[in-house]
Amino acid sequence: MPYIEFRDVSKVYKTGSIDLRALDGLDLYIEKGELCVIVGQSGAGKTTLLNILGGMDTLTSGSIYLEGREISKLKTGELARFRRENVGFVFQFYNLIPNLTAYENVEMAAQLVKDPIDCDLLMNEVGLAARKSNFPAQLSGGEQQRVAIARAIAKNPKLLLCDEPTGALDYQTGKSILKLLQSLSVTKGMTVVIITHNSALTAMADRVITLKNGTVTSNLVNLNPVNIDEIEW
Amino acid sequence: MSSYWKTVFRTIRESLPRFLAIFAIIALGVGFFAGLKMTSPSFYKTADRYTEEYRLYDFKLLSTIGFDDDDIESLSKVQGVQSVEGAVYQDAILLCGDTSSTVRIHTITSTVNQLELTAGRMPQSPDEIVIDGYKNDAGMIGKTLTLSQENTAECIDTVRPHEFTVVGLVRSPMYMNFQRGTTDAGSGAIDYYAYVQKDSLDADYYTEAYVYCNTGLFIYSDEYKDWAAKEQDILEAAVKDIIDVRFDSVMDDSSQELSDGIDEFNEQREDAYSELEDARETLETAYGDITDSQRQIDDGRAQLEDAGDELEAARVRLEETDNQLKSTKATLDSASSQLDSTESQLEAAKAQLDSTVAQLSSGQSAIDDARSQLEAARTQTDGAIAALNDSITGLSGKIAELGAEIDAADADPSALPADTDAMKANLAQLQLQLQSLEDNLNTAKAGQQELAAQQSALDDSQSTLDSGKAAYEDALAQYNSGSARYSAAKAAYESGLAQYSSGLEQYNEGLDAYNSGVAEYNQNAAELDSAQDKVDSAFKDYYDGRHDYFAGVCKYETEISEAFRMNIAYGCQQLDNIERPDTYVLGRDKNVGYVCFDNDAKIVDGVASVFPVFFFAIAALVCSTTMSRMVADERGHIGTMRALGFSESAIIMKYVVYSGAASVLGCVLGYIGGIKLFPWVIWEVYAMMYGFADISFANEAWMFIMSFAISLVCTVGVTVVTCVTELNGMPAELIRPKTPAAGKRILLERITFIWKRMKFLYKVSARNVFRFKKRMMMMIVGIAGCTALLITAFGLYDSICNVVGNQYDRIMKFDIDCTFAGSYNAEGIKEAANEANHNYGKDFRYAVAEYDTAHNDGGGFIRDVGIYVADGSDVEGIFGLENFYTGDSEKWPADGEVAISSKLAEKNNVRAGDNITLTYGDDSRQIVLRVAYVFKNYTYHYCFMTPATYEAAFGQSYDPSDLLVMMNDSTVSPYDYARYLTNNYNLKSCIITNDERESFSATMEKMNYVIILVVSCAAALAFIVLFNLNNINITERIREIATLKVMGFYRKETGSYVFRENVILVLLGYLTGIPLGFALHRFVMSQIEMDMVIYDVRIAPQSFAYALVLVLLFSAIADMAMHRRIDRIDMAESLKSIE
Repeated sequence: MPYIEFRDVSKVYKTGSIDLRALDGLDLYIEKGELCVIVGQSGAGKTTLLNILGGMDTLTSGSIYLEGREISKLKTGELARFRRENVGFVFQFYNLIPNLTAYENVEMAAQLVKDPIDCDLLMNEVGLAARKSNFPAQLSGGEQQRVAIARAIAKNPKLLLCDEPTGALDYQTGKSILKLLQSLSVTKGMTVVIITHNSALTAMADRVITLKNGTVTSNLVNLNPVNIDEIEW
Repeated sequence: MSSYWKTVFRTIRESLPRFLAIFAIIALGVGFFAGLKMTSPSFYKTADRYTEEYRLYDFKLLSTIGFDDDDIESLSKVQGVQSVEGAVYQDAILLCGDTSSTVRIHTITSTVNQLELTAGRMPQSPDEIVIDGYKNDAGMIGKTLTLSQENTAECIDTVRPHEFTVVGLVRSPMYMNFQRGTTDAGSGAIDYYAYVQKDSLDADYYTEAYVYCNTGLFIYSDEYKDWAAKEQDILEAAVKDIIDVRFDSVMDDSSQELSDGIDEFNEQREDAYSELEDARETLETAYGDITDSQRQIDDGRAQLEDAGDELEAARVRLEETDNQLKSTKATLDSASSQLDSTESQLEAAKAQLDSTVAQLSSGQSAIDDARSQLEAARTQTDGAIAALNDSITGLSGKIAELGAEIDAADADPSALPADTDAMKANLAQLQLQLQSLEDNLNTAKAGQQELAAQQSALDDSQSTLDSGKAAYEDALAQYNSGSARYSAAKAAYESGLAQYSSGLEQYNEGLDAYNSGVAEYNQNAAELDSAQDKVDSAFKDYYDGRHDYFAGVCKYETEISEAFRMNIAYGCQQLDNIERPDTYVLGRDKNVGYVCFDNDAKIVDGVASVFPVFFFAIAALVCSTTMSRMVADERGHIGTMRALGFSESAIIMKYVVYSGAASVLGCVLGYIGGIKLFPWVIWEVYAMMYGFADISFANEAWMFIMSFAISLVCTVGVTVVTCVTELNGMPAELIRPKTPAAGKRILLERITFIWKRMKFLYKVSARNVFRFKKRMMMMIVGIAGCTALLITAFGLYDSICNVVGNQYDRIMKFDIDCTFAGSYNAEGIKEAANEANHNYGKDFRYAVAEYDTAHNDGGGFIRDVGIYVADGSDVEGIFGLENFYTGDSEKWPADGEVAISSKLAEKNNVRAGDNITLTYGDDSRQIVLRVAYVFKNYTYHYCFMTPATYEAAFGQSYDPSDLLVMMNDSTVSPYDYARYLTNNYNLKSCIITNDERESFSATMEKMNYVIILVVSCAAALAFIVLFNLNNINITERIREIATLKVMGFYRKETGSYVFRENVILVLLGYLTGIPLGFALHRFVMSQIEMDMVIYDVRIAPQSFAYALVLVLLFSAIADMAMHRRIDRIDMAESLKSIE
């Protein structure tokens, strides 16, 4: 039983007479602890897929299983709980709470769950121990993203979903972020799913899923994932 | 349609809530502004229309001699006058069943003061009546009103029909408000007015004349006032002339009448006088005759008297003689008997003397015998004694010898006892012998003594006898002299007896002569008596005649003087005293209802000045935030448009159209709704005092234009400004999302003590509150405004609701105020109260007082002042007097000072110790009173004083006719009690304070409209502000909220995240609103001040609680809507990156 499984998942947007099929009978599976990278062109449905996986959106048909549990059938409240306890999100544009310090942003997530990871520890891990009391506006993009990652991890989720985490960052910063994500996957055994349209990053993944027009065109396991440091683009 | 316009409409559709928010707040603001501002003009318009339609008089003319038809005719020719009509009024007590009311009955005038018929029909005959439609309901139609017997005679004469049938209800423009005025009749206050045909009231003159000028000038306007001032002068001059002319002619007539009267008087006087003279002469003659006769009789009487005297003397003499004879006889008789007794005495004496002689001799012989016996015995005894003495002597010697022998024997021992014994025995024997001898001697001595005694006894006897002899000798001598006397006396008696006999004869002769003389005398006396009787009756006739004469003189005098006094002197005096008549021209500004209406309309204007500004300020704030928000939201769009090359104006136009459309719609609807709703509601509230017509809505172009302009400025103006500001930025900047507001530390964080203890999410909320300053301000201002409105609304209610309760629970505690007919004095009234108490088995406290009215014009407003005159101790407990300034309880004022109510004091600017002036009576004299203290009072104006003060200051005697009864007992209804009094006693009127309370609670019900209106507005304000803010809030932080949802915040948690901030802001707004509410409340209270009411300006503690509850309720409702909005946030959409 795969850790994550999509079965014939479709997401259709109906506007007037036009049907927009963001996902079209999509099937995929991801195993536990994998660093999975999902690639595809713009409009392929990557974000939609991630959103539905993360319980942020609903599908039109099909079913999704996480650890054998059909999450596609969950109602809004249950979905919220699902998200709370199981999923950590990292967005392209960080989406930190501007009114809270870096530490507090992480704390915000931590106080949601029963056994969070210690915030100070996290801050150290992301290398921002010195910037704990700064507001997001006082942090650089990379720092903000790191805070976002810390926030996502603070809940000790099973699943870490990242939507173009390095999209707004420069090369070096992006690399360090990815390094962090990689190490999380390795050290903590978190299932990390990263969406990107940078195909160079597929080298670091354990699994690469390619989307096109709302369907999975390939689902490849990478037996020798490369350390991000060694990847250049 | 071009795509441009498509965007506009689409935008409107898409952001309908925002559009509606702007629309609503503008509508509200304009509605309030225009509505309130137009209320006063609507009032004026209504009144203007009404007074024009029903031709309210422009002037009321009065003169001290009334008006007649000629006067009216002349008046109608005066410049400016369109029509003038005379009218009569009479105040009367009318009974409808058991209820008695004091009614002012007017005659109907056709060209001025026209009546509006609200039910039934107008009178068609003199005994039909139409009554005040404001104070009565249609149920009165068909009822009969009877003229009460309590009315004055003058009233009863004036009102021709004594029974009226009510045929309709009317409204008179002369009575625009609820006040009906005061009067001398009945209870002193007029209950309602009524109209009848001219013939129903019998009067020689019109009591007043009403002038209508049909100026067409707007009511209360300056033009009207100017015109009225001028016209008043014209009329005053004209009326004075007209009245003077009439007065002079009347005076001439009267003078003529008077001199005619005087002539007649003199004529009659002459006739009467001559009659009396004749009578007097007759009497004098009669008198002369009678006195002559009397004189004759008197002479006769004198003679008779002399004769009488003589007879009397004779009689006396005879009597004396008779007495003398009688006494002589008696003396003789007693002498005779005396002689007889003396004789017998003498004989007895003789006998006795003889016996005494015999006794004496026998006694002497006895004594002689005894004497000789005694001699013998003595001799014997003497001898015995001598013998005995010898014996004894001898024996004694023997004894002594023997004794000596014995002694010697005893001494001698040789002596033989037998010898001694024998000698002793011998001695003893001798001694015995001696003894017996001695005994004998004693006996003899005794015998000797006895003889001696006998001897002396005999001597005594002898002396007795000798004295007896002497006595006898005396007696004998006496007898002899006595005997001689007797003989002499006897001889005297004999001579006396002979004298007596001759005297007796003489006496009898004299007696006969006297008797004949007496008979003659009597005869003469009888003759004289009869003559006297004749004279007496003649006298009597004379006196009767004289009496009649004097009576005639008296009558003459009296009639003369009375006729003179009553008619002539009086008439002269009247004519002398007649003052030239006064005329008065009273404009509309002396009509109570007219003036009050103006004042009240001004009140509304005053209130209207604040609220609209308030609302418009809020509106401006809301609009500005909304539009700036919108523009901010669309910055990307704007940037794109700019980038595409659209001109600034084209871009701005969209938003201008958007906000303009909302604003115009809001303005129009708000205006139309507002100018109808507000005036109508407020008119309804005022209907309790007025209600003379349905409201006519005023509509002024300038108001609309101004409202329009302001709304546009608030919306479109703001939009343009915001747009321009945004557009100043480069397109590229615009396209990029705006950096969200940075986080900042807040002050509270520095208070680490509290900050550490706060829960994490609360810290977030605390920071968020201060994060968006504009939003914070708006929320606080909006909620503060809402709170202020609520507090004001509830405060209004609190201030007004207790007025009547306080007045009648704390100050005037009596439940009934009955006015008794004038025939009752204080004692009578108290008895009535006792009787009534007894009847109900209760002991209700009561007091007797006098009620009077006066006027006061402090502060430029003429007001009625009710005066209660009573004894302090009597009314204690019935009036609760609290000092207005200190709050201490006070007693009834002492003599020489008065207590006045607080409003009265305030308007006249007087305090304790100052003086206050009242105008009193028909002659409007000024009465100055010293104020002892000012008491707390809520309705009307009052002045309290003692009877002494009243009498001194007003020059009226204290004549209490009011009974104040304090019941405080739910088992007996004051209505029953009052009815009992009405049925059993002669009452002019009976006022139950409960009626006052009830009519006031009807008023309070109307107040509820106002409260509801204000609360609704407050609610609307709160909702608009809250919805709008929530909307903006969420829109601004949509990413943030979406992130939370993604993080797994539950629905409630997400909601609370925003909700918490709202609660804090609402509370802050509430707290800010409290002082604002205080101020607003105070302002409104000061604006709605009415002269005769003092409101208890206060806000009850629970009102603050109500306001808080409502504010929280509003925010809760708003937040509930917000929750739904948050629910609908699509995480995916919100968090979409810009691709």
